[in-house]
Amino acid sequence: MPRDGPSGGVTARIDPRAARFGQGATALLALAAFVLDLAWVALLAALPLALGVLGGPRWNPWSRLFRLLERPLGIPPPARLKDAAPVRFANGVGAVFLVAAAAIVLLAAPLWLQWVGWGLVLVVASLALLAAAVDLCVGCEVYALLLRLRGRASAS
Amino acid sequence: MIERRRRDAISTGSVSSVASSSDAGPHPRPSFAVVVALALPLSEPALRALVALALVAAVVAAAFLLRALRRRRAAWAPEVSALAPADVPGGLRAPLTALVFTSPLCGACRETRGIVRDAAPEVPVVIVDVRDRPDLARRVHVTETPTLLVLDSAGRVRYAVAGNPTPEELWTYVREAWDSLEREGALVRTGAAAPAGEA
Repeated sequence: MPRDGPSGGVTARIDPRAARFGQGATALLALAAFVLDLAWVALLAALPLALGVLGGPRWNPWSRLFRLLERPLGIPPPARLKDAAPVRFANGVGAVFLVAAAAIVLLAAPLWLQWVGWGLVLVVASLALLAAAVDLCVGCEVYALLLRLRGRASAS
Repeated sequence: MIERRRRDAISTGSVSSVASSSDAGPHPRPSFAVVVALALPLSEPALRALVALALVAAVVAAAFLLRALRRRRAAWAPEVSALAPADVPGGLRAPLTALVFTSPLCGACRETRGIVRDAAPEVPVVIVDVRDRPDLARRVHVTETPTLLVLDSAGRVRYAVAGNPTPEELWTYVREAWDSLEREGALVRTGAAAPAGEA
């Protein structure tokens, strides 16, 4: 359902609960990667995010899964929709962090850098958890802020 | 896993017999003991589980705190206590009208109409882009979007908030506005009925 997006172009609208579902799943995978010390699990968590970022909301496997589960679980249709663009941005940042962290660990980087890598994984886990639990998408807020700054810069 | 950690520790220590891609030549050699001590926690699953649990607890605590903070809206008051009905697009015919200032790069503004519809369906919503009416925005001293004003038919500001209110908050203030309108007899004059949900 395309509508005018914040940048003036056309952006899709998504079910915010599907976005939170994906963020929750990402948080769980990221935490699992950290606890089990398995960097490839972080890559696994990054993959659905990357698909959603590159292909759009329709390509996000988590959203697809949520849609599949909607009817069997008796989840009512969404009361409101939200813009896909900020969520895509947030997922993109998460994917980049997770891939970078996995690369750092898998390529046997110096130890201090591995700490940084796992720190990135924990950052993604916390922000995803925050978004899933209390609907506070920090990445989305950053996206809005960046747009505002860009708007101000182009206006001056 | 532990072997890889030891190998890393060794490669950053003085023994560089194990070739590693991170070996870029002579570099400062930290004490082997320190490096091993640092390596240990990373590979200890119990400690990692503990860190993960602590993180989840911290996030949950932060979430509750943020929720509480969001409830307390930043003190903002419009510069005017009333607007001339002629200035408001569409006029002010209804007993209460919700005037919403929006801007182009405002994601939260999309929610405002829905919030008013949830909390006060009897209150019509008038959306004003600050680009279209900068004079109005300046008069009200809009510093953030969305900015929501609830005006009565005379143009008096009954409720004003910068940023989206929660539906509960808006419902409370609209109820108060209705009550005071009733007391003033304004509702009797316009013949409007109080919104549903009244005890």
